Amino acid sequence: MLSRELFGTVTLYDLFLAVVILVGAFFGTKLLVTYMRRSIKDKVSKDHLQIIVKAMYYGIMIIALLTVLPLLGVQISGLLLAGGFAGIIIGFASQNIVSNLISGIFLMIERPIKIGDAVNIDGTMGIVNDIKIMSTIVRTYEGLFVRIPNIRVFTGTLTNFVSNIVRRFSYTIGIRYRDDAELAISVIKKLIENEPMALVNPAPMVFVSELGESSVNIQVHIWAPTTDWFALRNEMLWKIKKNLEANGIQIPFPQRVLWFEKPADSDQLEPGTKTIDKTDS
Amino acid sequence: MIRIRYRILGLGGKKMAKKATGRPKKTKTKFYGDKALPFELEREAITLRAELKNGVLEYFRSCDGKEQVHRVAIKDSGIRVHPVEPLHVPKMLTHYLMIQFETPILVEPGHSMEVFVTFPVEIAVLVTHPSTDEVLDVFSVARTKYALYGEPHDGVICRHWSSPVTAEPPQSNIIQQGTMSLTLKNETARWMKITKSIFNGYGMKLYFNDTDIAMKAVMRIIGKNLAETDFLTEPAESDMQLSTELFAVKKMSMQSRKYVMEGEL
Repeated sequence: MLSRELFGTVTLYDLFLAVVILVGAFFGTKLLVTYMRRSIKDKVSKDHLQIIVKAMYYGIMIIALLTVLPLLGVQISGLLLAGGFAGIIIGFASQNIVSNLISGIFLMIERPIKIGDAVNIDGTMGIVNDIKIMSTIVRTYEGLFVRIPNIRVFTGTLTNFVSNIVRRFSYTIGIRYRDDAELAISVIKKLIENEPMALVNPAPMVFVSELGESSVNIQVHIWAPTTDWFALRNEMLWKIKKNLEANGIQIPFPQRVLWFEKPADSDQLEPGTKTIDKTDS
Repeated sequence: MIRIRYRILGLGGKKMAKKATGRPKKTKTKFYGDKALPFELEREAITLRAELKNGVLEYFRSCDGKEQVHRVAIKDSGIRVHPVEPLHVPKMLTHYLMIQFETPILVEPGHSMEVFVTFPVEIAVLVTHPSTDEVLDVFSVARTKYALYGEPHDGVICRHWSSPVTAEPPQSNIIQQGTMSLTLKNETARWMKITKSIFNGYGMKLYFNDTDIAMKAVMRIIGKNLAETDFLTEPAESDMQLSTELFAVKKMSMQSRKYVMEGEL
């Protein structure tokens, strides 16, 4: 009964075998993937795990499919020829889909981003939640779900904020002209020295960068581990402000000096000799 | 992100006094070791106190004006205070320690020499149990700073420590720092100037007694910008005991215990 031909040379046995192989491959792959997930979860990062698991799943399923096709009377060589023509037609018809697919494959090979990275993809800022074969899923800092086609991720401008293990941040601190800039620099340097997450190397830099209109500007550059960069940047600015004030150094308001050619009260003011200071600096 | 699994190595120390009650007695002689409950330790700005109340261990730590309290339900456990790898405070950011030499050392070609440097220590308080120990508290009074070794895209973050280099073991304060005997082996055919040494926390072997904390390490200088560091599993003095290793490596783990310096030496 099993040797009865159903269509062409395909027997009931062939069909049965094909179904068994496909079903076996499907459930076998599921089991294998589950086992792999459990066994290597602690040894590889989440994104590596996703790539390994997906590659294994699709690889086994493709092999199973190629195995059963001859059983069903489909010759792979003929399929390749037909597939070539069909591919051209489908390719033209679904250019965007194919572009996204190819971009997705290249993204997985090149790996400019990983799951969990903080990124800016063409103006969309957030955390990478998933990198799929057609699209990349980003959770914005406002908690929104954004699906970005892989072609945009691959060809657009991509900034990965956590790709490097350290990152620099800078402040420009303005102090009054009457304040001691060297004292201000030493106060800031001491604060940096006492902060564990402010790296020793690359060395921090604190220097007078500009004699501004209203203030002497001190530039501060600090390197920090990428994981602690944001918290440190927020924390240090307020510490610098408080410590400068504790040392009698103030951050001035913008000010403008006005010279009156003909003062309103000529008894008190000589032309061009008195300034009106609008601030307390 | 570094994933570290604690594994505490039992040392077969003294049995704890169990279910002890009453006022804690002050102990000023030995800072490190197994402690009988109740106890109180004071050293400089540190005060540690633990007592048992109805099966609940109350542990207090006061350090630099900051106080912490932990409560643990115990039955057969005790307390152990040990110096540990200086890589946990303020958080476990890295498992590398960089010792920057205050003055560089010039090493002759083919020459091997032993020098002494200091290293920071952290203090771990553990709840000991016949089957497995648990970390209750880790703190430090040593200066904590970090530094990048290498470039931002491929370097490593290290706990940074600046140390003088001496020919004799320096005096050190055991709650802040220990002494490392470092053997520098110049295997190249040129004079080498060494400014720093980087060590892997997974290989660290701290030994201690009542007065000192010590480690022994080797730095093989292989090339102009290539060196390998490793620790020796032997105490500096015969009466020293091996400290608890929080960065212990599993026997089957692929985690390396050495570190290969491939940048500036």
